[in-house]
Formats: sequence, C-alpha cells, structure tokens
Amino acid sequence: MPDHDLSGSSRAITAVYIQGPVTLAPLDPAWIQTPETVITLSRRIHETGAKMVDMGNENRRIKVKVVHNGTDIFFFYQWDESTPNVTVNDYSLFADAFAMEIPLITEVSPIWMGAKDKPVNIIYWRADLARPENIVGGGIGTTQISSDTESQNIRHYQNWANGVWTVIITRPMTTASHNQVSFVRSATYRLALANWKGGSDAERGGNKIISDWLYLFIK
Amino acid sequence: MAIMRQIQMVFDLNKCIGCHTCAMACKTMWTDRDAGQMHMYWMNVETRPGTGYPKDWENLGGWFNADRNTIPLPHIHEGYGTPWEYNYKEVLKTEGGDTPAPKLIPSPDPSEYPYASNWDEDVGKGTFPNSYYFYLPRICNHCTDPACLEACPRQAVYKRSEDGIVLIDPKRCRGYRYCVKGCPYKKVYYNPEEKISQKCVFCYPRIEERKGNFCSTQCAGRISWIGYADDTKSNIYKLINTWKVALRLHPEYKTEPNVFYIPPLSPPTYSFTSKLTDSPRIPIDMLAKMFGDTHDQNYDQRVTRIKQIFDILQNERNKVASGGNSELIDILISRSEADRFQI
Repeated sequence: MPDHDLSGSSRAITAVYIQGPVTLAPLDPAWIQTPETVITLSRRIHETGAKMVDMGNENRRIKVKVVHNGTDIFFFYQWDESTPNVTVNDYSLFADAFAMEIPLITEVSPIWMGAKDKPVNIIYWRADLARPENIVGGGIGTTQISSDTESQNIRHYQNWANGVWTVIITRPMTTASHNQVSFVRSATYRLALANWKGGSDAERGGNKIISDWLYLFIK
Repeated sequence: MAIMRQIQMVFDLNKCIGCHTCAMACKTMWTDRDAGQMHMYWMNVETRPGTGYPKDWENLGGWFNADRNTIPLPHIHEGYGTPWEYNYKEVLKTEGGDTPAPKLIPSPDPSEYPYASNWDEDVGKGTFPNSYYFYLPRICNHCTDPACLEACPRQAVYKRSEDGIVLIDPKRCRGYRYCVKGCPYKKVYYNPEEKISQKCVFCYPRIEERKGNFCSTQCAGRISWIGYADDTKSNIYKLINTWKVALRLHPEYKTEPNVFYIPPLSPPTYSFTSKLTDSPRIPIDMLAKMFGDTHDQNYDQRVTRIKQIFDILQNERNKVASGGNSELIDILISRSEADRFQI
C-alpha cells in the first residue's frame, strides 16, 4: 500500500499505537490519549425505488478514534441521536445502524458497496441486532454476511446515553479470513462510514448517509 | 432467469363456505413456529364486502400502482390483529383447580386493539332481506411480474424457473420490508423475531412431490384447482382458458397474479313490494371492481365478463338440472383429488 501524506486533512485518521491491553470500555485510558477526528457524512445514496434520506437531514458528524496494540485494532465511534431506535417489534420500525467499509483486496473500490472485482469488507452494526456483522460486498445489492468461522472474530460495545450513541468495535489486526482485511502497521487504508437513523419507516439498506473515502493510517 | 412453467390456482367462490380450514392448515404447516409469526396468515379467508387482512389492504398500494415513497407499512396490532390467547387451561381445568365456571377470555383485551384477521366475518352489507356477503380466500398470487421481487434491493425475492413459485431467500433478506410495501395484495409479512420477511411458499416441497398445496388438499369445500398454465389438458386450463369462468383479483395492480377466482353467484334481490328482481344480491359493480382478466380491461369490460361468466355457469347448471351432461359442472363438482390437483 502506498503512503498518503494527508496530515492535517479532516479525511485522515490515525490508528494510534497503544502498548499493552486495551478493553472495550468507553472509559479505557487508551481513548483519553487518542485524538478524535470528526467526520462529516453527507452523501445520500440513490437506490432505485428506495426512499432517499430527506434533504436537510444529510449532514451528520461522527467522532472517530482508532487505536491498536499490535494485535487488536479498536474503532471508537460516537454520534448524536436524540431518540435511540433499538426495538423493532412492528412492521414500521427500523433500528439505528452504522457501518464501516474498507476495500478488501484493492487499494480502492467503488464506495457504493464495491464491485465484483473490487470487493469491500464491511463491519455492520445495528442497534437491534446488538452484534457486529462481517460483510463482503461486490456491488450494490450483493452484500453478504460472511459465514466462515475465521471472520467471527469481531467484538463490540454499544451504549446510548444522553443523546449520544457510542459504538466500539474491535477485531484482531491479522485475520485468517479471506472475507476480512488484515491491518499492517505503517500502511494506509481507505475507510468509509455509513449511518442510518432509525424510526418509523426510516432509513435502511441504500437509504442512508455515507462519508467520502477517508484515509486510515496504522501507526 | 426465464420462467419455464407457471403454476396456477383457481378458487371457486361459489363453493367456499368460510370454514377457514385452509387458513388453519397453512398456519399449522408453516407459521406456527415462533412469536414473530403469530400474526401471519399466509392463507387467509376474508369476508367481502369487508376490511380484509391486513386491514384495508386494497387501499395501501403497491410498487406498480402507487407512489413508492408513500406506501405505508401496516402495523401488527392495528393492521393484522393481535394474536389473542385464551385461558383454555383455566376453563377446561387441564391443570386442576376448582374455579367456578370461569369465562373464556381473550388476552390481551381486544378492546385495546379492536382488530383481527377475521374481525368483520359475515358482517357484509345490504339490508334484510337483501343483505349479502361472500368469502374470499387469499394466498400469495405468485405473480408473473411480482412487485415484491421488483421492490427488493437485494435480490432476496426470486421466482423459481421450474414452476414460477415466488420465494424469499432468508439468507439474502435483511428485513428492509420493501417487499411488504411492494406487494399490492399485502401478502408478504414481516417476522420481527427473525428480522426477515416471509410469505406463502405455495407448499413447494409438496408441489415437488406432486402433492397439492396444503390449503387446497385440506379444503373441506373442495373449492380449489391447481395445475400448470401450459397444460392444456388440465382442469385449471379449462376453467381459465376454455370455459373462461375464472378471473384475476385486481389485475389492475399490474402484477399478473396466478391465482384466479370464479366469481360468486347470488340469489336475486327482493323489490320493495317483495317481488324477486333480476339483480343479484352481490352487486355486479362490487365484483367488477375486484375481478377482471387483464390489467388493461376497463370497468365496462369487466362488468360484461362477470355477466358472461354468470350466464355460462347458469346455462351449464340448467343443462345438468334437466338431465344433461356438462364438462364444466363436472370439473366444478370435482369428485376426486385427481380432478383438482394436476401437477
């Protein structure tokens, strides 16, 4: 992977190296010493037939912190949500959701779910599922949850309090799964984020807001 | 993928007695498993005129006949009805006890959500002695142009090439519910426990064994026929294409449904002076707003067709009544299962 000099850009995120164990707790000391990057999500996806996010509701900010300890990588995400949408017990209800996408085998892939020869690796979290899913996509409408046991290595923390969702996702940096990206120190990876606001007949699928490609440098 | 064959079904509404054995057969076979399926009746029988199941489904819209962004998603309690439980154990004393004559009580209290899948059964319309109603059994229509399939952004809905049965792949489905919106017949359901959409599968494992779908085989009134659209020797072909007595439900929804209905005859109305009139109690107008051959047929053409079907049925009945033979009446009587299931 070539290096990108993006220091100072709001699209650059550094995964800070922390010596020793890091936990999934939001108050873990690792997060205190790690600077946050605020990412603006403002791209509306257009999917045939599906509803688009309403105009004026497309600018969302997500606070991102990433750390690693050489073995595991931790992603800390926080965003405002006045009403958490967690329970889906009726046809009309949809839960809040979040996803992070990284090109799987190429340096860059189409941001909209990749392409057949340029697949993407997605970690998808939805409030009601309360578990992160490892997904591979090869174009719009093709995403699939990976079923291999090697990719069942993602753990998470989720909490909504005082109008803020906190979602922490962790995974071993090196993976044996062909459905996952392995993270190498000193390399830069493209990363895109997606956000779905839940509620009544609310956002799901292509009906979401995404960021542009971001650059994740693993220190 | 090209559809090589299309399975079709005909319901004779003149024979449906509204016993719901089909609905119970289907429920027992397919949707008796988890809490998320309690509200689902893949096969349901509703009284017409009536609000239907889910409530007012004819006014909810579908992918080809409404603004896609405004199609509502029904609510479980208000639309499909709360799946009540009854205190059978207490009443039947299956677990002992000596409560004096406890009453059979549904819970939760129906007054909380006053609707259910069969809420307005037998209510109908009209004033005595001209009151009327009929029963309308409904399954997924396994449409030639399925709106649910069209609406799904994930290709989770597919139509089998070998028989045209429309299925949802539970592994592809992510529970977005566009299919629920898409189907104008509201025959796709959402399972909030499994977090996926589910629907009538036309009992495909039985069809593969050349057995009838369960709602048909259990039907006490023997009101249904199934067969392949291209099998010119089948009774289904004869009913739809030779005798032309079966119509589609709401073909104007433009999905080309593959379930057909023989419209219900009804006794004549009485006039104010207690004389029998020429008008059937079930208004032709109402039937013409429900049934037709194709999506581009207009109202007048539908009225003509329904009158034509009633004439055919009446003529053939008269033939048999006067000692003659009628292929149509033989088919409609359907003496054996082999007459009804030709698959």
